[in-house]
Amino acid sequence: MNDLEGEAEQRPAPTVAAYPLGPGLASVAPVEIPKRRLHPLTPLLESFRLLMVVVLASSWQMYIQENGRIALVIVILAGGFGAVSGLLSWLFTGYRVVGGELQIAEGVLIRKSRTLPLERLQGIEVAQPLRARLFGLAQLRIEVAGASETEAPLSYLRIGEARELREELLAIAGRGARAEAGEAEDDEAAEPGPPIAHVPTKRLIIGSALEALPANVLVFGIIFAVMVGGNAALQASGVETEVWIAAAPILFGLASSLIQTISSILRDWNFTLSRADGRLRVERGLTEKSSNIVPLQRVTAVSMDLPVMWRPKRWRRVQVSTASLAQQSAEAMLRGNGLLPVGTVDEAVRVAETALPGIAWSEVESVLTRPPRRARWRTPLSWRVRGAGLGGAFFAVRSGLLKTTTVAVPYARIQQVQVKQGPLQRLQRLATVRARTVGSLEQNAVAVHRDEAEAVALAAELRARADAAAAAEEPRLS
Amino acid sequence: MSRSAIPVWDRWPTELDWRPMAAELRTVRLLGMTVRLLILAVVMLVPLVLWLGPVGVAIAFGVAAALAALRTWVIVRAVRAWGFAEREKDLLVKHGLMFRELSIVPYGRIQLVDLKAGPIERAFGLTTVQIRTAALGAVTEIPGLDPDVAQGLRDRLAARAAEVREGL
Repeated sequence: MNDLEGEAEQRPAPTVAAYPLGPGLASVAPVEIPKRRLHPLTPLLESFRLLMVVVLASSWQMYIQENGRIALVIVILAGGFGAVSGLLSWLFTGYRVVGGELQIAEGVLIRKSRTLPLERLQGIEVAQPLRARLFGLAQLRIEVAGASETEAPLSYLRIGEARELREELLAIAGRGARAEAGEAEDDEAAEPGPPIAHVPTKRLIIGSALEALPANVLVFGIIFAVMVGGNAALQASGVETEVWIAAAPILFGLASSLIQTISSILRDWNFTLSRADGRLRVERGLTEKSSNIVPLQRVTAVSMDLPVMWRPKRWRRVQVSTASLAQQSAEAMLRGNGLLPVGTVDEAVRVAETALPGIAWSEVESVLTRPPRRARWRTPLSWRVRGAGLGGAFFAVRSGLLKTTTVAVPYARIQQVQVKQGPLQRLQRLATVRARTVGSLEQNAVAVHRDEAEAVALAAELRARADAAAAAEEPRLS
Repeated sequence: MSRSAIPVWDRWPTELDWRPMAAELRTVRLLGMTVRLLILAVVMLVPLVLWLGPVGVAIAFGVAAALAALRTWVIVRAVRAWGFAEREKDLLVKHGLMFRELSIVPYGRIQLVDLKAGPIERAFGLTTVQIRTAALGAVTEIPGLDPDVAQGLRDRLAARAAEVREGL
């Protein structure tokens, strides 16, 4: 195996050096990268968690049985099996670039080959999970338009190698080679521009805690009440039981929500948003430092969230969705595509307006109109909050009581329009209009319970404006 | 007719010739329902006999038959409610009786046009056209078309999509 690693070590200088960086690159014939393997430590890192579980389980076994032999056998068996299967999978995994496509081959028994057309490349992120950082490794997350699922990351590579590969792939894709090269120096060195927003740690922690609070208190309170009530009832009927055993799952739930809050804090730690050449650059993370780039022309929707507990503080969150399908995966939604996890109103408006050039956020707020009064009983609490409206260049919708979300979709990004009407709505002459775009924020672009005639007019207007905006756009996205 | 009785899609867009689905779609849908019901009946027969006894089973099957009859009526009417219309710049698809839905798909945003046919559909010589845009999960279906009509529609859609590419 050693000579294989040596081979990777001695591979020729990055192909990108042989090509001029700059315009005209796209016309150069597709570069080929010969087949390469991932870093030999990959299997170890891939099975990191499993390994930890095995070790923990066996030491527990050792502890309660005071008999090390079984545990030792388990560890050795698991280790041996892991080593062999890891070695095999490493041997059979590789990537190469042929004819403008990145091909990733994997799988021992079932050979799998993924092909990513680089011309449709949307973005590459170099990420360093904690376990990879320990060994100076990184993974490459590649986003391609039209991919039906998030492509599994290319992991793991040495950090330098990962950055080189990113540049090579970007160069082959012929996309933004200059901009990418300019900042490629890279994540730590070159400062792309003055930060647009930075989130102080104190505000991040308070914000996350406040946001998670109401749901937790509510759930905990309800279950607590049920348990106390149940206990009292059982004791009244003379049954000798302890309902408190049922507290375990609740504590578990609370703990997991706590972990979620903490991990979101760790993820957004030291959040800095800056501008670099028509893109926004997000840097964040404590245990897993990540820096990714949001191309401004690909923004399909911007939303501003106001969780109910943030009202006194007047804080806001800003999120965008971009035209990269990878963002629609569950993982990406959890990871979030935030441009500002928690910021003041001024900051949030500034960030939102940066993300949607040419749109004033005050206009977004002002075009919103409520659904008709007769729809009020359908959503009594949030009726007051709900709104939808057409702006000069965008469709705006606001909804949600516990977390008020205002989303603005530029007309040019609207894919298709739907009008829906249920039986109750028909009786009330109401209808729901939905503007569909690429990206996870589209689920918020739904104008619920509008007047029937208004809904129809809204849909017609959305379609007409979307066409006009798309026609006026230069160059078009594809 | 009171104002509330006029469905949205008849008022707007008004001057359109909605193309209906092929008449066989009704048969296909009804057959599909029958097959599903039969499978359910076979699976449930033994447990039901053990649990309810013969009389209970007769009642259960009676209820199921009544529901099936109701469903038949809904299917017959719902198939009539399907329709699509091609406009200059976009395709309109309407469907649903209780829950009405109108989808407007601009040609320029179409990413994929698929033809597909299930076994029962195939037996009756029908095809479903599926249209996808870049918005994930936004699949617009036009079921129950004659293969020629479906082919023609697919080709027209693909050609227009290539003409006016608006993409993402």
